[in-house]
Amino acid sequence: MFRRERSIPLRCSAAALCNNLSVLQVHWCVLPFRVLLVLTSHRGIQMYESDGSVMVYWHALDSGDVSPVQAVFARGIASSGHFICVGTWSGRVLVFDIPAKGPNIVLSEELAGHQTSVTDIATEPAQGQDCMADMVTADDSGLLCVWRSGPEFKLMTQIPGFGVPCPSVQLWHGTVAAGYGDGQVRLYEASTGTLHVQISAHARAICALDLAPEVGKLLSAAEDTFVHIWKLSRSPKSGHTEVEHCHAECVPDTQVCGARFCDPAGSSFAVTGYDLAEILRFSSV
Amino acid sequence: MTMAFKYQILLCPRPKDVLLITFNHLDAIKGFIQDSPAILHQVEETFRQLTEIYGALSAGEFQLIRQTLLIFFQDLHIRVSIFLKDRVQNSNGRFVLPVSGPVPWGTEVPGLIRMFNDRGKEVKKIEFKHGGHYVTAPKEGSFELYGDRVLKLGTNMYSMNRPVETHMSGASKNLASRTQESIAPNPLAKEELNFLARLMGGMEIKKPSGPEPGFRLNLFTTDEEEEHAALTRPEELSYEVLNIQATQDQQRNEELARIMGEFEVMDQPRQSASKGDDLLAMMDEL
Repeated sequence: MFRRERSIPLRCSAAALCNNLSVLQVHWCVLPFRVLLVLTSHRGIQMYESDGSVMVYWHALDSGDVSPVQAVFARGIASSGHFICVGTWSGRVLVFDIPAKGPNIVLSEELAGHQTSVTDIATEPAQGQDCMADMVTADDSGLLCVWRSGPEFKLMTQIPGFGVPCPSVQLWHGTVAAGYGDGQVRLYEASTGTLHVQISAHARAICALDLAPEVGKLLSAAEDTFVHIWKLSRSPKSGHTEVEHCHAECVPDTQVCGARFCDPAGSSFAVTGYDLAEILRFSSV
Repeated sequence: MTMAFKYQILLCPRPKDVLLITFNHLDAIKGFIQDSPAILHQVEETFRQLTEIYGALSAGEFQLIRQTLLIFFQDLHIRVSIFLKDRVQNSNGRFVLPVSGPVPWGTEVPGLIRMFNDRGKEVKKIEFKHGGHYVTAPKEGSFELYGDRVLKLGTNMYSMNRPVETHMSGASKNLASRTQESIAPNPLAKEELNFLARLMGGMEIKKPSGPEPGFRLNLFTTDEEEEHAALTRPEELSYEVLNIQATQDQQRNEELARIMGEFEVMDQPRQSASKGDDLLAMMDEL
């Protein structure tokens, strides 16, 4: 169903970062009037113009009176309206107010909801009055917090974890898709936290989930070398969320560390892994 | 050694198993020094301190440790002869990641989709082809001072029986792989030296609590072949045992001790501040 396309070689190894910043995550934040490239690391948060040319904002993490053995970092990036939300090691989620242009970025709020380090954040455009929730945050204990964005963000629901970290989370039409460190993918109703689907998807920790919103396809990638594609739907008679497995792709001897759909219809996806000096691409036939 | 370390971290099933691998290392050290109670006590103390510091870390914290270590070892692809031989490493230097075998403890075998209604009742169950051949984990490794770790990572890779190749097989004609740097010292070297010491009569033979040390002559390629040959030996061939008296000879011991005594240094070596002084002192003695 998918065939392998030409890979994109990486110019130099990802390990050879010039200022040894130990970047944890990178995300393009699409805002109403601009696109910003956001980097999180062990030192803080950097925001660049979308082409990476100019650094627009730098936020240093406050380690305060943290013991020296505690790792300090920012992790989890998402945009919601004219806000950019970034998670931190303490569980706090920082909300930055972004102007239409220029560097006058302000930290407007710090959300408290997590007790352990934030792992990932996902948002989706507000779906109208039916779907109030438009942001979900995940942490190392597997706890998921569902929020409604606004001048002040409001915590709507908390979905408890089960002792396993949730490295990746997605939000689609009021459904939260969460990938866990034990290889499970779970789908919940965002507004109530009810579990709809539980998939024993992978044999190792999941590293990435991505959505193709136009068709409701979900991509899961894990350290077990596999990438799976799933089709999400709602059963017409019962209204329950249903999942169907579409495709399995094995990247031999590679611990996958990132995977994304390349287009909103999910007709192609890209994968990369640990020790890999290229980005592999697959497109459907 | 770096590649062995990288291999163990990479193939770690659960992030917490990094600690289990460390315990395997400590267990092996305990095996080396089991006849020395003072060092054994120190190793056990190390165990307790490791448990105290790392025992309470969460899965997320262990994963961060593991990821940080993996970043440190990124792009290292040194080929190691024992890894190539055991087929845990490809000829391009990358490690083989198997898609079969037991899943980590706490993980379910992939392949099941379960769907629930609003009241939490399971309404549909589908299986899907996940592409691997996994089975459930048999049991969890022990994090206690003594226990079955279950995990084989971190144990002695040389303790497995492997045939000694006496000629080049067709597959391994490449001489380069034979001269690759080996990562562990020859375990027989210590035994050889001990045996020499016993022959000279200078070392007491301590009855070891573990398996019999020293040499055992094997005329076959592997131990299995030797056992098989012993089983299939025809009854009519009788045993003929030759006794070679290499130790415990009192007279020879005395003779050897006298010769060894003649090797002893009579004078104390002179302490001197520099090389020049040494030379001068030597010249003075002439």
